Parts: sequence; C-alpha cells; structure tokens
Amino acid sequence: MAAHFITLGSPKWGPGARHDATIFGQMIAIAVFPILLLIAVGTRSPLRGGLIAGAVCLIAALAVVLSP
Amino acid sequence: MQDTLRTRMGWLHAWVGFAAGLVLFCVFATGCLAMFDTELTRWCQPEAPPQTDTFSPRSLDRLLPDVQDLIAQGEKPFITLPSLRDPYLRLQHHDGYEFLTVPYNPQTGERLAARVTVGGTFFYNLHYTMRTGIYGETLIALAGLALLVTIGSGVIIHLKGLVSDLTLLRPFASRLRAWLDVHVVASVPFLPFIVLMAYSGTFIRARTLFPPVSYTASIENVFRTPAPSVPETPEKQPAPPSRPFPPLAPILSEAERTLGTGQVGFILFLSQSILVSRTDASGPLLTREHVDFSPVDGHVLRHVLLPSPITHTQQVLDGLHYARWTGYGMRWLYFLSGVMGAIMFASGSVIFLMKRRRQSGRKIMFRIAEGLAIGSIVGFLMATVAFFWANRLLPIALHDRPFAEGYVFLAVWVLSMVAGLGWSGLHRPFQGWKIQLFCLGTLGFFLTPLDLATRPGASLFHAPTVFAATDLVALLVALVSFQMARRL
Repeated sequence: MAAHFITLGSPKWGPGARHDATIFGQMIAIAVFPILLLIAVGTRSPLRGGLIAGAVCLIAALAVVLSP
Repeated sequence: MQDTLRTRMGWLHAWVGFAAGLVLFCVFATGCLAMFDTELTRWCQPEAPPQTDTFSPRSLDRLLPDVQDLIAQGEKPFITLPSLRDPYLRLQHHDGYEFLTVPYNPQTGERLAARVTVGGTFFYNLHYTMRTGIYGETLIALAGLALLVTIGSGVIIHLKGLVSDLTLLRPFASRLRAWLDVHVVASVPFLPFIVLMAYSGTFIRARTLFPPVSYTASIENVFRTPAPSVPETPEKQPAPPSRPFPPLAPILSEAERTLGTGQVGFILFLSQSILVSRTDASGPLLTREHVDFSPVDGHVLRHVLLPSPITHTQQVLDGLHYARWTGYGMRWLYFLSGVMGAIMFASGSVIFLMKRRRQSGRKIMFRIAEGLAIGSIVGFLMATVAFFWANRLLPIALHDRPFAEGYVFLAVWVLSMVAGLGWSGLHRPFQGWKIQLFCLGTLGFFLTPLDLATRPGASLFHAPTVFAATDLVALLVALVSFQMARRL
C-alpha cells in the first residue's frame, strides 16, 4: 500500500509535469516495495516490522491527502 | 530452529523464490531468445538468403500498396529499414499478439516469397505478457517485484560466505550440495545484471501494478467494462479507402536532416500522420524521437522529443533493458547472463523440492509443485524447440500459419505439464524429469539436420550466420539435456 500511495501522490509532490512525476513515483515505488517487505519480515518482532512498514505507508498516504 | 535474521530470510527466499521462480524461469528464457528476435525471425524465414542488396530509398514506394492494404484492414503498419542485424526492408503490423513481418528486397522493394511466420517476436511477446494480455503483464510485473525481494533475501542469507561460496563448485559432492553450488555460482557473478533486469523490467510494466489512480478506481473500471477473454484484440474497423501516400524517399531525406544520416529506424503509418522514428540502435537512450509528416503532401508537421531528466532516466532504463543499441558481443553477454539467471531459477526450484522431499514428499501439494516444476523448466524448453520444428514442418500454405506455430508451442508445453503432473502424481518424478530431458535432447539434437534439410541453398559448412548460431545453441541444449538425464 505504501508503494501504491507513493505513485498516487507523486503527481502532487513529484518534479515536472504530471507524466514525469508519475514515472518518478513509480521508480521510487518499485524500489521501496522490496525494501519494506524485507524490513517487515526481517525484524525480530513481527509487530516492529509491521509498525515500520505501516509508518512509511502512513507518510505516503499523508502526502497524498495533504499535498496541494 | 533458532529464529535469526538468516532463518527468516531463508523462509522468504525459499517460498517467494519458488512461487515466482517457475514464472521467472520462462521470463528469463524468453528474454534470452527475445535478445535475438530479429535473427530468429530470419531463421524462421529461410527463403530469405543471409546476404542481399544495399538499401535504396526509392524502394520504399514499392511497399506503399501493401501498406494501403493493411490500413484498409484497420491495421497500423510500419516499415523497418535495413540494419546491421537485418539487411531486409520489413513491413510489419501487430496482430493482437505479435508483430508479423514480411521481408522485401531493400534495393528494388520487391516482396520476397518467404513463409508467413510469427518468428522471433513470439518470444518477445511471451516474455512480457505470456500471451495473456494485461493479465500476463500484471503477473510478470508481480514476479519482477518478487524477484527483487528474493534477491534481497538471498544476498542477506549468503552475505557471510559470499566470496568463499563463489569459488566453490563441487559437481561430484552430494546432490543437494552440488545444486547449491550451481545456484550460487549462477547467481552471484550475474547479480548486477539480474537486479538491473528485475528493476528495469518491473519499471517498464509499472503501470499495471502501480497505476497513477487509486486501486478502487482501477477495480471499478475493470468491472465497468467487461474484460475480453482474449487479450488486446480490439475489433478492427476497416478504414475508409485512403489517399495515396506521398513519395517516401524525400520524407526519409527530410527526417534524416533532423535525426541524422542513417538514424531512421522505422516509418509508422497513421491516419493523420506518417511518423519517421529514430532507430533503437542509435544509443543507450531509447528515445523514440520522431519527426511527423503529413500523409497528404509530406510536409513536416512536428518534431517530438521528450527531453526532461526524468524522461531521460526512463529512456536509459528502457535502453538498458531492451539492449537494442548493443553490438553482437554485448548481445551475447546479455544472452549468457539471461541463461545464468534461468539456471539460477531452475536450480533454486530443484533445491526447494530436494529440501522438502523427505518430509513432504508424499503430500499432494508437493507432488503438484514438482509436476509444475518439470513442466515449467524442461517442458518450456521442449516447447521452444518444438516451435522451431513447427516453423519448418507446417505446410507453407497453411491458413493462419503464425497462430498454428504458437498453438504447437502451447500444446507441447501443456502436454509436458500434464505429463509432469502425472509422473509426479504416480510418485515417479525422476522418471518424468528423465523422459522429458531425453525428449528435449532429441528435439534439440535433430534441429540441425532439420534446418539443413528444409533450408533452400543450405550447405553443411557455411559462414557463421543466424542459422548456424541457432542450430549450435540447440545442439548445446541437447547435449546438456542428455548429460542431465544420464546423471539424474
């Protein structure tokens, strides 16, 4: 969901025209997805991993909602 | 078992890797073949000799009646100009699955009497859609993300012994140890290539997984318009009879003033314009820069080039993935790296099954998994070689010949999958592996005699050409298959 929110919000906060910003968001989303999954599974406590991934998801969602 | 980072990553690596690995084996194998799609199309049209005349721009006008015919059928045809990889002029159009191609003499514009074939573009299409349109694209993009996860977890698992493992290959050690060595040796040296392909490949199809609209809207959209049962085959409306096109030689000359001499790759015919596009071989950036001309009088309409830094980054990623700008040396390096990637997936799947055979060998899910592995790995390669057999053995006058070639491929693959599941279900999986490896070896071994017997003007000792290279690769696959069947 974090990766999805990054792509969804990128036209609002990304650089240049909407097309460029979406591409930029997709570039980040593809890199973020495996990193977040590895963090979520790799931490000793599943709760901690979930919290880290959830926090990134929340930030990405807030960027969608709050960006002008 | 102690819960450590390595055990958690091991679990992720095994399960995500096996689930996506069978699909990714096919994706990497087809990627290797797609690297030589133009050359394979030439193998599939043996009537067109390896050498031909030099290109004359005046010959382009001889193709225009055939272009008009395709436009009248509702197609969007384009002419690809001769290049180092292919000396012929080719008229192409997309049939909903692949780009079908007809060769023409580059000096006279005369149509060559070559067989109708789907050619190497079959593997190009299979590489990113599995012939199932948007559903296949989404599945493969998802497998690309899974590959990134698998690579990350694999690196964490092997981080301690990365260098020492790399120098170890013990083919005569215990079976599991030997397969682990193959897995590590095939993956670690080619890791940068595999990461690049996984990232750029997923990025190219990112719109399927990460659309710029919410998932809710996307799903609603899917339910609003019923999905077609066959992919991307929109109803083609016959176009009204079009005006004759202006002569193409002056258009080509005008386009070369903007793009550079020898930098034109193809000419696309649309209802409102004629697009003269830069060749993909011009450099690592796949710019698709084009100059548009009026189809009425041939005057310049516009020059299109996307110059922003983000677009340039996208063009670099596309260029590195497609590698159309590279010479033959780099192309073979891509091929070798892709083969190593495929070996990595195949060996990983075998290790996954070996590790679980003692504990879960009699469970139905294990039997299904092993049957699918047989069909996905050996069966896929067998279907690929069968495709080349079909290309040479199917009657030349057969109606819908390109489809027939594709059906032979799919039939052999499905048959192999069913046979694999059958042998596995009967608790005789080794029998299944051995028989299919032997069949693959036989098909590959006899491809050279078939080529020599069905190619006009063939001789045993000829200059290195696309024919020799294809036959030798098939022979190599055959020898490896025989050896594996013997050792299994």
